[in-house]
Amino acid sequence: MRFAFFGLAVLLALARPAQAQYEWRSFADDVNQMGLYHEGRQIGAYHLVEDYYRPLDPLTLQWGERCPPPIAPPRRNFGLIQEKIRDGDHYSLNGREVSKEQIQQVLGDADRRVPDDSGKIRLTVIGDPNWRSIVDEDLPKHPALASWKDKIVAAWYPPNHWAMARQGFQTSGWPTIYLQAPDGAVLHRQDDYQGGAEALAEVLRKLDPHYKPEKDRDRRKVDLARWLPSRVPWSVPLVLLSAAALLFFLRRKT
Amino acid sequence: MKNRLPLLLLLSAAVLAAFIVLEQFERELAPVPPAPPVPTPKPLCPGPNCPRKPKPRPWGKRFVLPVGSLASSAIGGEIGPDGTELQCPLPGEFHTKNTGGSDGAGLCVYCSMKHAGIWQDDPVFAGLFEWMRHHPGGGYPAKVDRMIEQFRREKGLPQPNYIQVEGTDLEILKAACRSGRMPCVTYSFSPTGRYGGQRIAHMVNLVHAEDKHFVLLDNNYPGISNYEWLSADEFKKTYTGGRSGWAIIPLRPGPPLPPHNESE
Repeated sequence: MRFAFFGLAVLLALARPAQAQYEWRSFADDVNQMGLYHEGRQIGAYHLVEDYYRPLDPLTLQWGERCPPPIAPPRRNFGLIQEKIRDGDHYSLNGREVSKEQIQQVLGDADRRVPDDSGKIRLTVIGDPNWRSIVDEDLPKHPALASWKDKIVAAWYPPNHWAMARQGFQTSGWPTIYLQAPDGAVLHRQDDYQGGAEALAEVLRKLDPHYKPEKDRDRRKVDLARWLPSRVPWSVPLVLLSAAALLFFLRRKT
Repeated sequence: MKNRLPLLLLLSAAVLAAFIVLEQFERELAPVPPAPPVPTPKPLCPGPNCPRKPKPRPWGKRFVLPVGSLASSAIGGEIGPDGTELQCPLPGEFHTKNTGGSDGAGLCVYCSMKHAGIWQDDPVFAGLFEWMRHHPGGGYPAKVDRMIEQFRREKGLPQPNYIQVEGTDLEILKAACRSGRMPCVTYSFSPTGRYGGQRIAHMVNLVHAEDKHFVLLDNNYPGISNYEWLSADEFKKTYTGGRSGWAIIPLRPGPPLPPHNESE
């Protein structure tokens, strides 16, 4: 019995190196394929994306038809080291491990960990790098604009940026400044920065998304269109009739 | 008497106006009876709840899924079968194919970051992929932090603002896409049958995420007609791989929507 076990162990030991002679190797220029090597020579390749194996004749260098590989297919890994992804919820901000609450605090939003810009006005400055200061300096620091920095999404782009030129933005201003509604509608465009931050702040004030013009009242004048003809009250015909009766009475008297 | 006629007319008009004004004041002061139910008016735009208008597509053709295909688990273009448009339609010419680093290990993580970097105009995210071709491949959260720091120092670029999330939270991904950001997400199998339906280790871009659709841009299948449209359940399975997912989200805003006149 002992000899039988010993013989089996010897056979396994001999078989292992033979198996180890097969080796999957990656190609630096193509991560979608792996070559199968046997005793240092390539004998086939596995396409990781399309999921098939083709043998290679090492002598003629001719590729054969698709067939199962002689050993198990390679692990399909395109560059992710999964073992280092932790279970459970973990958050980091700019490389620092933080708690979920800290992320919420940093981003200033109790419910979302990503700033929700979807309802904000977009300020886009298109011009040479000097005009970047409108976004980087004026918006956060100028007193006229400071109150707007958290209410709008601002970005600077050079005129040749792909997102500007091909989407139909005017890029010839000095600089071109767009204010867009969340749906992309252009609310305002100026092709210069005359008036500076104050003028821009004035435009923003006029475009406040929370401003409801229909609630405005012009106390200087009576807007008759508001009353007539759809809202003619019962008193109007009564007064008209009274006036007519009065006129008639006075005429008869004379 | 004739001289008094205009005066009388004027007086009548004044009385009329006074009556109108008085009546209006009475109406405003009187308790208003509850109004009958009416359809809720649409919010005035711009406002926080304004629907996004269909966007013009200056880049490339629209691709519609084949008739009869399911809303989920399908390969398609920038517009879904129900007319849904991608939230982050990166132009096709910027779709980059994954490659290997100096050791032959894949760079799917950095290729996905490049897509997000181009979309969100982040120079560190956009440039890291090319730089990584001369460094060992493979990625995980701590390595991404290290590589970003090393790359930006070497190139003299500013620190990018980004978050990394490990876990199973899909809400943060939806919030990112809703705000025009393009997360890089893990991907463990293809619900549409790519990769022979086998389990894989990969990172791709999430270009659209809402309750109905999750759409992926796979850096092994670049091209504007190769998006993978999934349901939320399918996405969660492939994102977490039954365990835990990993996402990288640069925080710079995405590009503004194409401009159009207000009346359009």
